[in-house]
Amino acid sequence: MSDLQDAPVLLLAEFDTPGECLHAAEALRDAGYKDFDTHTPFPIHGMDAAMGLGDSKLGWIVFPAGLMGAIGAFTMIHWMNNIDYPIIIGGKPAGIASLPSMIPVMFELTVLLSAFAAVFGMLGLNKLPRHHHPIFNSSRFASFSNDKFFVSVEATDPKWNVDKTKALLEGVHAKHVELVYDDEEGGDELEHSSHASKGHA
Amino acid sequence: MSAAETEKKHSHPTNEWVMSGPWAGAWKIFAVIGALGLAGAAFGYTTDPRRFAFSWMFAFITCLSVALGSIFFVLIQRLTSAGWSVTVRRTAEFFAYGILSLIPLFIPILMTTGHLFPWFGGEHAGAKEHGAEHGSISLITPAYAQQHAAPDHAAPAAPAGHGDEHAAPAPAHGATGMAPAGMAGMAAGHGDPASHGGPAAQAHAEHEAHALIHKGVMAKKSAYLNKNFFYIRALLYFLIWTVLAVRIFGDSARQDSSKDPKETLKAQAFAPPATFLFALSLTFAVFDWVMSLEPSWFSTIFGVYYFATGVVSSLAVIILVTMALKNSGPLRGAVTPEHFHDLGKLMFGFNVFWAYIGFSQFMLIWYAALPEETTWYHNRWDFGPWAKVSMAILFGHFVLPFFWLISRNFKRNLGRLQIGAAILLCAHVVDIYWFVMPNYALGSNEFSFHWLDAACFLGVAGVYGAFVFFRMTKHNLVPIGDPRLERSLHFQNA
Repeated sequence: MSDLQDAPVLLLAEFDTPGECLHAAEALRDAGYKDFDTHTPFPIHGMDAAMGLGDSKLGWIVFPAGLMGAIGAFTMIHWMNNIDYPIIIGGKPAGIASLPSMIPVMFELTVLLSAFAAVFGMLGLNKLPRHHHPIFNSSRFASFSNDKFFVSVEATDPKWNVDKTKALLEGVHAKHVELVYDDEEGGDELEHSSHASKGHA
Repeated sequence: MSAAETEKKHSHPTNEWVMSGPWAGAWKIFAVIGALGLAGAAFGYTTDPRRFAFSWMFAFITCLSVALGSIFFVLIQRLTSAGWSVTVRRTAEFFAYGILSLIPLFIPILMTTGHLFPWFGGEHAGAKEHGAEHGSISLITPAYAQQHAAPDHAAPAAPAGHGDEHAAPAPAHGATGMAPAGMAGMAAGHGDPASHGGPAAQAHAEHEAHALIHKGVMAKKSAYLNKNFFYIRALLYFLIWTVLAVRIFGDSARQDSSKDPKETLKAQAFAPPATFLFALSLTFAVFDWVMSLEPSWFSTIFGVYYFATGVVSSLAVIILVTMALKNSGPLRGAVTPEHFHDLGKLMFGFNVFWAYIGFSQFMLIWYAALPEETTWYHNRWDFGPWAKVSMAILFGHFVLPFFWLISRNFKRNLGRLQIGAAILLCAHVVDIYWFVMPNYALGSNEFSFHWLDAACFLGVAGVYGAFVFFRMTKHNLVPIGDPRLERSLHFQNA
């Protein structure tokens, strides 16, 4: 077993109130941390700014997808009805002058591809679906969906330093700070530990 | 919270959000512009009453849409019990209340009904108009209609031929080759198949048949389109709007001093019936005043179209005015980029809705190609100058603002949002111009911008603006007694 596996993968700090959680996020942001997240039972207004989150990248996925929908629908109908097999419907010319008849399909396909791009883009940007995350190894973490507020700092953060990060989190009045270790996704070692069942719940 | 704190919280904004700074005197500027505009309009009335009639209608309908859109904005906030919008709601209430100033401005329309409405039996009436109203539908199939205009193509050319009868007289209205769908549609449209396709009509020359049809259509519509009912309806619309404006502004303004949360509940209880009255009165008003300028034409979606353009323009006005008041001081601290972001979202969304409705109206008419329905677009597309205006609206009212405002960052950047709102407001004025003005010279290639258009617009907008901005100096610019004020002040989108 190497040292790498023994090293903690994240620090988890627990708070009692949304306000403390928000201020902890601000403190981490101001200290220059990037790879951290907050876990709360409900959305907290101002959290985006407190965490220093930039603009969502989703728009850069959705917009081209929507544009592709419009262009794809137009190309498809134009090819089928005007070029490959010109067909006159309702006395309308088989040509670009019949654009109005294409617009509903262009609109629908724009909406469809945009929606797909938004949903799957969101999943992709969130690295989902993901079956397991080490954070679930913490026995206290389950209450994030009940009445507790958590801040987690990943060991991949460039500013990561177990002692300093821990001190920082304690400095913003964390109720409880713990180191969380990876269990190699259900490896033998921790199979019998008390966390295992919670981890996969 | 202690009583002292409560006191402090309420007294703090009272001193702050009142009209001051450069905009405090804005109503005087509006009043001067309005007076000059009215003087010009009055002069124009004596020299060219017909042009004055249409110019005034354009100006009146433009400003009316802003007032009605503002009423709708307030009603929606009340219906949804919204907290975010409290600090910008008062601005909308001022513009909604401004509808009272438009009541006397309706008098010139009553004075010129004979010029405006062909069905009114005034100077306008006569055979020369109906040909244009039933004009060519070459818009529908430009190439196809030309290719198939020859008499021997009766069956496929029937829809096109109907409108082209002056050039190609052969396909009679009642010809057996007429597409069944088109026939059914026309029968429904005219309500009386005999007058349309019956043997009697066939015996007449095309033009006379048309005159008969026109006469028949107008006879059918006379139960609605007649002088007395027109006056009664106009009275009813203004009555409804007066009640809405007084209630909307009154409920909110009373709360400034009473701080009574019950006023909010009262306003919210009033909103649902008010919304019904609003929707019906707006729809029928625009049927009466704009759609009946070309009385043989009809579109059931027309009211929704006007509603959509009104909501967009009023949101543009609310954005521009709150931003000006924020930048110059009076609304500083009350309105934040969060509010502008939401107003921008609403404006963007309703502009897409406007385009959706506008296209829905166009596509159904284009697809069915019924002569009595296509005239509206015939008059706005088949004549060079108006076709350019139509394109300008398509790009200036939809394509450009759509791509400008689609980004979240552009809606949160006040300068860019301001540009977007200004573009939409200008496009809205053109949109209403495009509603009204083609009726001035139906069926001809005539497009001329007349100085009276500008004079009437400045006159009506000046009076409306002066009324609204004067009232702003008399009341708080933020509903300081609203129980949700604090929530709105600290509102955040995310």
